[in-house]
Amino acid sequence: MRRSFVLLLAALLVCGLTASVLAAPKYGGIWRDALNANPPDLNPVHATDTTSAEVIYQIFESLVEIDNEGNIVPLLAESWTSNEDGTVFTFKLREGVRFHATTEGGKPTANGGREMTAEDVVWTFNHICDPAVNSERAYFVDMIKGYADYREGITDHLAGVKALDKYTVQFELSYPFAPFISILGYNSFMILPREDVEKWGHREFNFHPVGTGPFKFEEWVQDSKVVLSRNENYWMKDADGNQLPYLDGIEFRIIVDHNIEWTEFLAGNLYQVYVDDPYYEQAGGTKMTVNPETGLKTAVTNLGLFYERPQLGTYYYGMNVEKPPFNDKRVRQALNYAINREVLIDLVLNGRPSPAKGVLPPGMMAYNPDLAGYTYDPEKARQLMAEAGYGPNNPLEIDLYYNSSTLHERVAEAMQAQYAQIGVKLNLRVLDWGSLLDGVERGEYGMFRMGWVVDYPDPDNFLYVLLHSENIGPQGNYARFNNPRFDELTKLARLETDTAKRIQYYQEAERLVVEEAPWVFIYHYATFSMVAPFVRGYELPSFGQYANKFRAVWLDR
Amino acid sequence: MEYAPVIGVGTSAEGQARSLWYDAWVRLRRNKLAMLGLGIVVLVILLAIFAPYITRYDPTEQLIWTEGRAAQLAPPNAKHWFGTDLYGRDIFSRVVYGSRVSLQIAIAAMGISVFIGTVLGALAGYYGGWIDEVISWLMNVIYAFPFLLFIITVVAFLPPSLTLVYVAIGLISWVSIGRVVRGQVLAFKNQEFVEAARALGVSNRRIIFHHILHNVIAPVIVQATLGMGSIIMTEAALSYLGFGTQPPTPSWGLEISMGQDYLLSGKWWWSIFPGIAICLTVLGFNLLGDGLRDALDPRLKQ
Repeated sequence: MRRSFVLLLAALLVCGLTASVLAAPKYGGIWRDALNANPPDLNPVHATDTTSAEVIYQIFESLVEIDNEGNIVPLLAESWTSNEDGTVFTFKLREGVRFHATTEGGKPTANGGREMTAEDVVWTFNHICDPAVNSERAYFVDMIKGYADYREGITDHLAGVKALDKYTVQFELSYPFAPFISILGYNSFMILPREDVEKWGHREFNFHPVGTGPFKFEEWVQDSKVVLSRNENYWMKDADGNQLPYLDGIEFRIIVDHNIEWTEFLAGNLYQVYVDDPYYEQAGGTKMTVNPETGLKTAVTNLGLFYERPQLGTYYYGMNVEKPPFNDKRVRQALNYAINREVLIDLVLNGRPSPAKGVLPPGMMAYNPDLAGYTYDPEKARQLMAEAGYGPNNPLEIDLYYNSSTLHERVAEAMQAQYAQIGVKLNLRVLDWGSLLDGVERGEYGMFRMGWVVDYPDPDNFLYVLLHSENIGPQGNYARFNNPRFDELTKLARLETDTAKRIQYYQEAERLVVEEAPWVFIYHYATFSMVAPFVRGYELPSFGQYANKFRAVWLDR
Repeated sequence: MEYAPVIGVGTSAEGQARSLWYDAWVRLRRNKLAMLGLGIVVLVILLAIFAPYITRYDPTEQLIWTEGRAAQLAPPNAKHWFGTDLYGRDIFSRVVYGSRVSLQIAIAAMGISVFIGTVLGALAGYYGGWIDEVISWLMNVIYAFPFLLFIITVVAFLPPSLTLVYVAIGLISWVSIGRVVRGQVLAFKNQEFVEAARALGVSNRRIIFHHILHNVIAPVIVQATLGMGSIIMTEAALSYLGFGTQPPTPSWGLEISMGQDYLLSGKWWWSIFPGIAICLTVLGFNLLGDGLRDALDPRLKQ
């Protein structure tokens, strides 16, 4: 009786939703959302984290963008072509795109709301690669011709970027680089108005961001909130020719605690919420339906719409292969055999992520479903530990460094119990995120928690950035993995333009990493989000919830 | 009977001293609340000593790996009296073993406090002058210092461990004992029995530790008992914030912190039971301390 009532209710809700999706969008309303930290930097040139990116995506736009399914699609560039060997890319820019005319309570911007042109693209890339600006992610585009000369002060500009006419811009690379287009969608490569950046300087621009995006910057109260307002001159229109965005503005409140965030969502003060594990069932997480094509899971409850999908990212415990006992491959392999990923994910993490066999997440090019990986085998783990000289009389004790968060703590305590089973004592050493990153970059810690979510959808962003010996240290290779064959393969894949060959190189490289085990491969992320029942036009990006865009979101009430 | 210190006179004090303790015990027994406090404290001590015989599960054993979902976050039942946590650990076992951590830290930290407080308090009270000024200044500084912040700062530089926690707490919480001892010594040092000892040529050291401190034991015991409660609270607060006891060692503060995320979603048992344990233990020490103060200070009762 009760069940049929629930079914009826669900059916009504689904009908209601379909009906309202078909209905014409309504203008107006403020989108109320939460950020889990004060954004470190709202200047795209210096932002490297997901919290900053979540705000940056609303204010700024790049030449291309990654859509919600992970495809590269035009944004400020309408179209592009490349020459035969993939070293010259020519972009045709969209006409009639204007920078924000006003900002921060109606004050005029320095650029005055003028049109964005090819000159702006040239200036922006020169600014990003400017050695004096020292953008943290400039090295992502180090294949642009003249990069090294410009960085070293031999030339005063980046030779490889040229404006051919008002709406055409050309990039020339020093070598063929297949993932180049997708890198341009990364959130550091937003096109900036020169006048405003120069007015504030590249450090102060963090507090006065101006771009071409659907929302304008209004106010940032540190550790409290970031407020954005509708860009009335925004260029994009919906399918019916209505101007976007529909919303009057966005208010991001900075709420660090997931419990408070959840309570605020239930009280109706937030329209989007992070669903922490304790609320998973309440949010409908145990009764989700899956779209087999996209992997998107959804649940409709009276609280709202709960979305969840695999995210291109990997959660791992890195091991510094230069430091004992991690310089012994058998120890590293044993630590991989010792954990039961399935039970960990199913019970401790509500079954949300998927077990990691290697580095590349499912959905990424070159992902290898047949990769053997490590299965749960405590016997084998014990045997490997014994071969490495550890046993009941000489037990191994390891310090695991991780940054404080309930999620990392939950995983770490489970890992601690698993390692105790093979006689390894794991001491938990909690640090704040900044100290962890700092120590890890300097190679100070033997074992450390890390996670990596994709910046651009190419295996290069995982294998080359995180494990090539050129990138040992702050660049991303924190495990200090150094394998000549691996280096060779990832370099070859960088220069190769034939996708089939690239896949071959990457798969062989990944097999090498798995065998050498510089990481304990734990899981591939899932991203999730719950929005209020009256929210329309919301989509959960496969890149992660932080990449959501609100230009087509509207409120049905 | 004008004042208690008379019992401190001479070498034949022993017989009389026993009668003071006996009197105190008689007075304490008449105080129902104090006896309740004593009962709780004794119970907690017994739990800590006999933990392995009382509990059925190892407090760090995670049952989910073998028993699966059924063992996870189970509400209180016949097998698990206080339910289980996210990893299927028995919360009853964790609460019982948690008493070991709490008592261990309380006793060790209090030992350090009593030692520092008594020595510095006695020196300040007896010698006066610049020694008193320096020590009193030190006590004021520490008293005005934000207690938790100090410990968090220390723990931030050194890896957290039990030893570090009790040493840090001990180094800070001796001030109240130091003040009591200083005040008492100040009151005694010009009494006739001290002057008599001095006239007989007894050394300063012997006068302080043998003649005067005997008379200060009672208030120190009262202060120490009352202080145990606040040390247990401090340990819980530190562990709650992640700076105290480290997993998987069961600690009440740590349990509350891990369980609180599940409190709103109806899994109340994870943090409520350790919370009750902290409340009861602190209450026990405070009731006992209050009772001891009444029992050991005859002036209040007669």
